[in-house]
Amino acid sequence: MAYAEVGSDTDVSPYSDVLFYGINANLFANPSGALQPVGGSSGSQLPNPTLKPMRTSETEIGLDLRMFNNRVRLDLAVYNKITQDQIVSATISDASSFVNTLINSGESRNQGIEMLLDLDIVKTNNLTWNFVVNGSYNKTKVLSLLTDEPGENIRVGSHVFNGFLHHVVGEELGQLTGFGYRFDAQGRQIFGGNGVPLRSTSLVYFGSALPKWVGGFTNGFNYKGVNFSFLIDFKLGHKMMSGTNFNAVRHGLHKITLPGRNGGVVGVGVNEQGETNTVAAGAQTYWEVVRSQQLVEPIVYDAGYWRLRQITLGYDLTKLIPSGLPVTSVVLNIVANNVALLKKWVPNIDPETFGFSSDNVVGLESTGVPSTRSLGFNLNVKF
Amino acid sequence: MKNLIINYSVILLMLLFTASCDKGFDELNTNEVDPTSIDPAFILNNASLGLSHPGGSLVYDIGIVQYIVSPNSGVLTGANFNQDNRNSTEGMWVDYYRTVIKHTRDVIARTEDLPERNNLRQMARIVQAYAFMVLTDAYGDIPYLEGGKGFTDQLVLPKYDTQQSIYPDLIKELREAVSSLTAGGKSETSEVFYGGDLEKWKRLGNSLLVRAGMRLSKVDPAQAQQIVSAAAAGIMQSNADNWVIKHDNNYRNGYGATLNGTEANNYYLVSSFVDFLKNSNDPRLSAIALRYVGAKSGPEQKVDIASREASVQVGMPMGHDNNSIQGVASNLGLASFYDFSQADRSRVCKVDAPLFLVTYAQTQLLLAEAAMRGWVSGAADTYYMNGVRAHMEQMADFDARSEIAAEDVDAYLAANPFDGGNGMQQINDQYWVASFLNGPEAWANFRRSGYPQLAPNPFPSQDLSGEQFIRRMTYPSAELGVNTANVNEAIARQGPDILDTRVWWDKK
Repeated sequence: MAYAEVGSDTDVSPYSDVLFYGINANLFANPSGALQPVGGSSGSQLPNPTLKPMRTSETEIGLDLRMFNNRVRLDLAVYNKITQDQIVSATISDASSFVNTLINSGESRNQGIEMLLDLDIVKTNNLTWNFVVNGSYNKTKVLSLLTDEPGENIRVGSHVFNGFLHHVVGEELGQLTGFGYRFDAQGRQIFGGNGVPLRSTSLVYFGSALPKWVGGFTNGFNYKGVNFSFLIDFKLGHKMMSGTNFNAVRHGLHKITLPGRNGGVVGVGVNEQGETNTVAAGAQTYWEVVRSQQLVEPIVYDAGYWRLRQITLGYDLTKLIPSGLPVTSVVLNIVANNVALLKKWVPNIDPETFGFSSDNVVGLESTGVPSTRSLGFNLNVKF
Repeated sequence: MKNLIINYSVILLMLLFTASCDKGFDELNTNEVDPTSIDPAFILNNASLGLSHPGGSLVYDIGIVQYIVSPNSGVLTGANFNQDNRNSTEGMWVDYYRTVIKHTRDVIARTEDLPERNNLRQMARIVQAYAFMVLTDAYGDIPYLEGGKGFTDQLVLPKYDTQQSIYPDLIKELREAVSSLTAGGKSETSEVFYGGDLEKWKRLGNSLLVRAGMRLSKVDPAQAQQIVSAAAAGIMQSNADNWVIKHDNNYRNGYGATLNGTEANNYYLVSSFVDFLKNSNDPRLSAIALRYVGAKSGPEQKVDIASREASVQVGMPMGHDNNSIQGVASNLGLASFYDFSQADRSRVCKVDAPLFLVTYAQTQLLLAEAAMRGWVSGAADTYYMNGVRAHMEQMADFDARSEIAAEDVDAYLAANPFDGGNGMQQINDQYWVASFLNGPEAWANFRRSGYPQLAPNPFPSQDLSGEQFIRRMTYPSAELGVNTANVNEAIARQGPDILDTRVWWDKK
């Protein structure tokens, strides 16, 4: 069992409490033709002179069990981490003339469990079978921001297209946020007079972009110097907003835009008067709402996956080496990485590919380089 | 023993550093490289150049008043389909708050205790009042008293003020600024609009007061009359007083940059505008328009088929997307929609084209209307003729090749004399032409006066639910997400956040 308390302000660059000025590279002529400097305060981040360092305190209870001659090993840890005054860059109103400011964002609680189970299922002279499971469950809840009023929120990141990342009091950290479809009290989707889906009147939290379950299984076999192992891993319980699918939808390249190419799309639901919607909207107008109305619900997906991460097949050649050579061991391995996605929920892309990654755009995918499978040989010689 | 001495000296050395570190803390914590202040005149220049309209203005105001339109959708969706494209409705808001108002607030705060910079301060107040007027005309209720005060007052989520309360304050600001511009103090020659000419700044302030006063003609005529009659004597006296951003290749015209960039082949003059000019043999048509006769695609729009001849020009009708426009083009005998007339990208819409914010021509036309209403002395037809003539003369300021010959101006005025019985329409139709390529102003005056009598956009799938024309811009989505309580208060007060809702002065 352990308890620790740590302070930090490494998220803040030096002199963040001061506004600096600059002169543009290009001058501009006044009426008499004399070139004049153009300048002003630079940067869109509003300095916050009252910023404090953040503090984290963590309690952890751990268990390390070894049984049956070390053939069963279990490592278990449960933790509860409270982060106070975390420094985040919060989006502020454009009407303040700035885009964001650093704030101390109250308190968040990070609770989880980590587990490692290592089993030697078979252990004979010729054959060994080793099985390892590791997994963690982790949930981070925002307890307070500037106040502890549930629903209070700050925007910490924006998608290149439409969609945001918010922290919301009472919800899990990193809520994907955007406009969704509009529904009436009976849960029926509402369409405008022109047959186009209406967007929700306020922003919708689609769920956290941070995975709750992360883990993997490794099976390793060794039979008379031939070793074979494979690793399956997973991340589950989080959402993503897909920019690739966003573009596919608005350009009519996505499968969901196929119905109604001729004759238009008649959305299932009601109009604003509560009557059944019978108006056919042109397919292009219908699906362009993801862009024009910033209605991103169609491109929010479960970001979870199960993946066959790695297969290794190898042979220990050491015993074939004539004695007298200055070589102590030779092992040849064939390794395949990122072999197959066994299960995913987001179409068209690998849920692990992100155009760019940074803490403030978690879960906001924009088209990146596709993930690749690699095959390789690996010769390990020891002298 | 030797080791012991070394150890002790290390500890002593450390103590020494601790002490000196504490002493020099302030110096250490001071950035000596980056400046924390510059001459406020340079900051005002930044605000002034920021007044240039964003390219997104093409998507809405320029299209609402049927100057220029695109049949293409996606990012260009807007007035062409009367649809709510939130990525474009926010354009003016984001630009003006983040550049213009940020810097004017800064200049005003920095010059507060600098009596020798009083005139610069008053200029900043005029620029700022203009920027707020453009914003409130577009959106209605906006953060005004608390707007742009992120740095000075740490107001990160500003409250909204009603347009009804903003206008009187704008008028007060303009009046105080005009009357506080006085000789003495530092000569502000580095200011880019008038090079510090205080008379011209006063005329600008008064012309803006005429504009702001006329804006209230529907909602509060008595107030409007009072403001206009008080300011009329001090207005601009010729095109030399025009308030204009003379763009160059670094600080480019937003319309010109867009129309010579990604959207070069996507925007065309609207038939209502072309036909209006054509029907009265207006020499401005050939000063503005250019048609690539027979072009079947964007790359075919080449100089050798370009024509600036007025009789050749064909405007694009409103209400079509890029499918239905093909049929319209072939019915008109055109090769494709690339064959419609454009606002000439090498003259009025070149990248360094000037942007006229407030002109002598506009102000004369406003006075023509005020004279008809009996609010100012002088004859409406004189103001009218002055206004039309001045705008025709102003065309040469776009480009030498847009210059209109004096005899053509005379011929036009002789053939189209002022007709008092139809004066309101005639004046405001001319205001529409005189405000070409100033989308926000043309749109505001169209909403106020009801002229020109444009046919509503017939596009089949619109977001307008009651109105025939777009009456306001919707708020930026960022406000709904970040400044939620304040924007919702404004929406509850003003009406739904849709394109149909009328702003306060736009009374039915």
